[in-house]
Amino acid sequence: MYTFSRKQRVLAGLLLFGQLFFVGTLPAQALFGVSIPSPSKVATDLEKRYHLDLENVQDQGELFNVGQNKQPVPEVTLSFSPTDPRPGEKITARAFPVYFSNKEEALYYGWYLKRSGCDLDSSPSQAKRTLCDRDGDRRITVEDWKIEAVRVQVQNGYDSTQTNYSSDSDDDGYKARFGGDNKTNTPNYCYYHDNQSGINYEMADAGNIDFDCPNGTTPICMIPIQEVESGDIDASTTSNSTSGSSSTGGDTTATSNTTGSASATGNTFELSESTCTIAGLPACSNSGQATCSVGFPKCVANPETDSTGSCGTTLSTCSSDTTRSVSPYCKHLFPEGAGRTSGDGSFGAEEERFWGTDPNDPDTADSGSKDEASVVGFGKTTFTWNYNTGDQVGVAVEGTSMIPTKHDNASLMIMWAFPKQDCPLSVVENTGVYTESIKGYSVEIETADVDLNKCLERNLVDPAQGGQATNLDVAVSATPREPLNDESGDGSGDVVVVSGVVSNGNKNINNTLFDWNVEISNNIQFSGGIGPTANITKDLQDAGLLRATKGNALDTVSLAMNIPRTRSVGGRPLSSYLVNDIGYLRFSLKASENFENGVLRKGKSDVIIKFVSTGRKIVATRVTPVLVGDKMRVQMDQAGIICNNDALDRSLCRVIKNEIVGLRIDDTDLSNFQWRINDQPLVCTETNVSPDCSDGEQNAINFFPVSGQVGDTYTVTLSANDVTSGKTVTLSRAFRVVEPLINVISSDEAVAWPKLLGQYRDITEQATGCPDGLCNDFSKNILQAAAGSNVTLQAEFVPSFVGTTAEREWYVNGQLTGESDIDKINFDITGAVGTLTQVQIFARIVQSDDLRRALYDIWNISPLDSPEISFSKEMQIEVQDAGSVAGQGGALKYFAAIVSYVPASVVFAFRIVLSAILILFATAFLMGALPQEPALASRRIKED
Amino acid sequence: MRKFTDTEKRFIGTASLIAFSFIFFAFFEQTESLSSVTQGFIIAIIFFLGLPLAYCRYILDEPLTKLGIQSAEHVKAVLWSVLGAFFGFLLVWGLNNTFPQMASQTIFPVLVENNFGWFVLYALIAIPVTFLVYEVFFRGMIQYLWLGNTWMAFGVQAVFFWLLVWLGEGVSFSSIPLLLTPILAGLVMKKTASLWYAWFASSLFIFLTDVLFLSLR
Repeated sequence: MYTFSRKQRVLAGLLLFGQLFFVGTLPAQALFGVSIPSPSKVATDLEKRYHLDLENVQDQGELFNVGQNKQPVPEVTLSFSPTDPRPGEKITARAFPVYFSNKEEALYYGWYLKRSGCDLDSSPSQAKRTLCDRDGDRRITVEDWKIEAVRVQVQNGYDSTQTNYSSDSDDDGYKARFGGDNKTNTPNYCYYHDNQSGINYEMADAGNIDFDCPNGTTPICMIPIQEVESGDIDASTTSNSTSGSSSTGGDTTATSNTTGSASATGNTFELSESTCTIAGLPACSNSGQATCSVGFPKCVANPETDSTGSCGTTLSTCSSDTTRSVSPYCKHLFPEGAGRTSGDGSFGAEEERFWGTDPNDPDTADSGSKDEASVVGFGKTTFTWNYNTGDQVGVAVEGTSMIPTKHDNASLMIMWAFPKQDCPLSVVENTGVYTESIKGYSVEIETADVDLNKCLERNLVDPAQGGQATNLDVAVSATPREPLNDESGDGSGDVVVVSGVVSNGNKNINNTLFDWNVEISNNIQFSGGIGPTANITKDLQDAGLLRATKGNALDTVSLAMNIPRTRSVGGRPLSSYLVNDIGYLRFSLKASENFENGVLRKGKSDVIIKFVSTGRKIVATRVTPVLVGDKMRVQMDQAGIICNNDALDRSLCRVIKNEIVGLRIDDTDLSNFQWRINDQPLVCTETNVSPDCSDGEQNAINFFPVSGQVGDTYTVTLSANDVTSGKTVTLSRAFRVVEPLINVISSDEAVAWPKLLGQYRDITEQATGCPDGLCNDFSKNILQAAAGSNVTLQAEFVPSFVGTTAEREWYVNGQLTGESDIDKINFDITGAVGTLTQVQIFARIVQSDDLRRALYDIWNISPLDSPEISFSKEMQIEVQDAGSVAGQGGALKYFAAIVSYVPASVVFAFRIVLSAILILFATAFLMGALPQEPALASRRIKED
Repeated sequence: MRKFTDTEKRFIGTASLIAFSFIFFAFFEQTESLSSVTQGFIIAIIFFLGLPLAYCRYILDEPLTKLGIQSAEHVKAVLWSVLGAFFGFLLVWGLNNTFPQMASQTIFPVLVENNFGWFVLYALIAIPVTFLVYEVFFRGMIQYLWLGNTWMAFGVQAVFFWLLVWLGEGVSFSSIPLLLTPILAGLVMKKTASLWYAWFASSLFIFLTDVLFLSLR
């Protein structure tokens, strides 16, 4: 057998040893064929075997590390019905709890209601106590709010004023359990959840703990927030030695060697820790060291508001009463009444009286729960009350969460949920930690001594939050939607009527304020960037086109579209707001209702309309009959424009029966004419109506016969295309059939003037020439003139154009009088003062035979239907005394004044009496004039 | 020159007065500033009532009895008045049966026709006042004062009255009762020589006639 020498054994050992140190972990297989894997190899193999991705596993591990702080904790949300409650209206708040292990109906809903003016107050006034202090402790606390809500809930309208509370026969007590009604035989551990850190603190009284923080600071656990910043790099070089050699002889070779080194120090990126975030509350160990399970203990000035601010100062030491043991506790948030505990299973007469329930009815509210169960809010997912402005409501839902405790039993964390989940660390009085041996391990459990009632105020919810209750639904509409603006100043533009409707108003329209505004723009977006836009409300009011725009019950406004093109509105002429004669108006309405406590319900809306502005008008003319072939047609009488004298005529042209009216329009830039009369097509052709028209396409001329009766109205509408803008232009003109009539006026009112009938008061304050608002009222049928004066009277015809063709005769005091001029007569006043001069004018209109034939040939109107029209007018002229009229002074004027005031009957009787006296005198005179025959005695004496 | 006795002068004077009155009446033009009814009323009162009275008292210097304004034997006078009215009524009734237009064309005021109270006022005031005027002028002045209450005077006053009616409203069927009043009133005046009973007779006659015509509507 071969044996190794001692030298060979040493060499083998050295080789083996060298493998360990110099070769590294060589696969054992190299030597033995089998290798022992390293931990990392094992892990890598595992990853490969199970297709595990390293990064994901790392992620999961990182999440696992913080998963404890991210468990779903109980929450509750509230909804209200109706969403826009009005004062006095019933409103129901409904709670939707989640992440409780109990069913909804097993939870305790601690409703509380804060009325307006019942803010927390430790020393309220008497009036406030009367209004808000429900438990009589002379303070306004959250207990008052709870009592306010619970009374509403537990009474449900029951009237306890006549109730006898001397005895209590109903058995309506209820024993409440922690964590919900279905929590039986389970240890109770109540927890407070810190929303920020996610740590759940077991509610326990851990005794007094003092942290050595300066005054004004709070001990808190903070985690620095690391931020990556660019770092600084220092590069340096060193030189150690220099050597060189040279040789000669023949070839010269010189070499030089320099040895040295270069180095760089520093960091490419650096981490800075200038801000911190709260990570929880510190605990105090037995050794007096402040500790944090997460983060570092710090003393921070305002941890609540400075959660991501400065990191505070280091907290290192603390002291605690180590002799006391930790006492976990649970405490309901039920309201207390009459000094008794709610939910203790006993609900006696005193409690019945306090809550206003029926001592003989175990379920006063008829809700299916005993009275005391109603007091503690057992299963009360809804709360209904009569809403008043300023009411705020909240709920604290007690139940068992789905988070297990660390205790070695079946306990789950008992928690409370609030609507806003707003219960910050600042409400915690003390924190601590205690250890418990669980399953042989010392488990640390963090504690917090906290009164959750301090969170109630933070979690009040306003049912009107979001402005639902304050909103008014307003709708605005306008008609017509595309009005026509008349630039001519005749006032014949469309009247836009804009109406606003408030659909959910609480007040009637008389108590609702309407505030209108009118804006104009050249673009429908009303964008100042596109074109001029302005509020023109005041300008329109100044122009008299728009009346009041603000006031109660002002649900409708009207705008007369009679804005001249050059009129300044919004600081610019109207033309600047027009594009191809088109502009836009926006009518905005703000409606508001006022309630008590200064609450305002408001709403607004608007409507935009497009308007066309034009100065074009349909011109009405007389016509000239013309014979075409054997048919009578009509032609436009270019010089015979009618209804163009005043605005009234231009807005409503008065015509008489059996007239033919010609219509024409300035057709510049217009095409595609369509005429309609009273919504019926009005077609004019060259063949059938007039050589001025064309067969086929309609043009800018048309005609229509006035065949209706007196009072009938014709509305002629013309639509045409504006070739420049491509828009449709729509114009209209109205005609009314009237009886012709005559007005007789004096040509010179200094000679013959209208008789003054009296005065009237102008209530519109728009009439001119009315001093002190009193306007003179003159007769239209009686003139006055001085005796012997020369009077000229003139006839005015309505319609005015009939005067050119009407036959007329004037009569003065029944005598035919010729005209001194066209439509005028001139005559002298010959009557005595006080007499009347009768003036009559008889007129007759007879259409020419040609025109009557045209009516027949074109429109088949029988000549029998176009007879003459006769009309007349009578006037009286009261003859006045020239002296008094002329204003002469003296006795004449005096007597004239006396006579003018004596009744006519007296004057007449006086005249008759004078006549009778005259007759008597004449008779007596006659008798006296007759020679008298002597008497008989004297005769006898004479005969003798 | 011929001289005239008092009687003749009175006759001529009265005739002149009557003539002047009729001339005034014929040429009188109504004024439009006063109602024609008012004008007629004023003229009637002044000319037919006031003028005769003033003439008798102040021109003739005679008592009003000269106009017949005096009493009479009461029983006889009443009897003549009533009989005259009654027979006049019978005559109108008979004529109306032949000429029913008499009733149909007689126009009464609407109030008188439809309201009994107004009819009473009309019968007690309007008719007597109207006929007082007629009696004073025609029976008093013409028949009694001027013509001496003879049968000729009876006839003349009737003719003058008919002339006045004809010149005024004209003669028609409806004026027949009015045309009969001078006959019966003149007859009563002739028999009683008292204006009062002639007035009573004419008023009663017209009243009965109006009652007849109203009842026939």
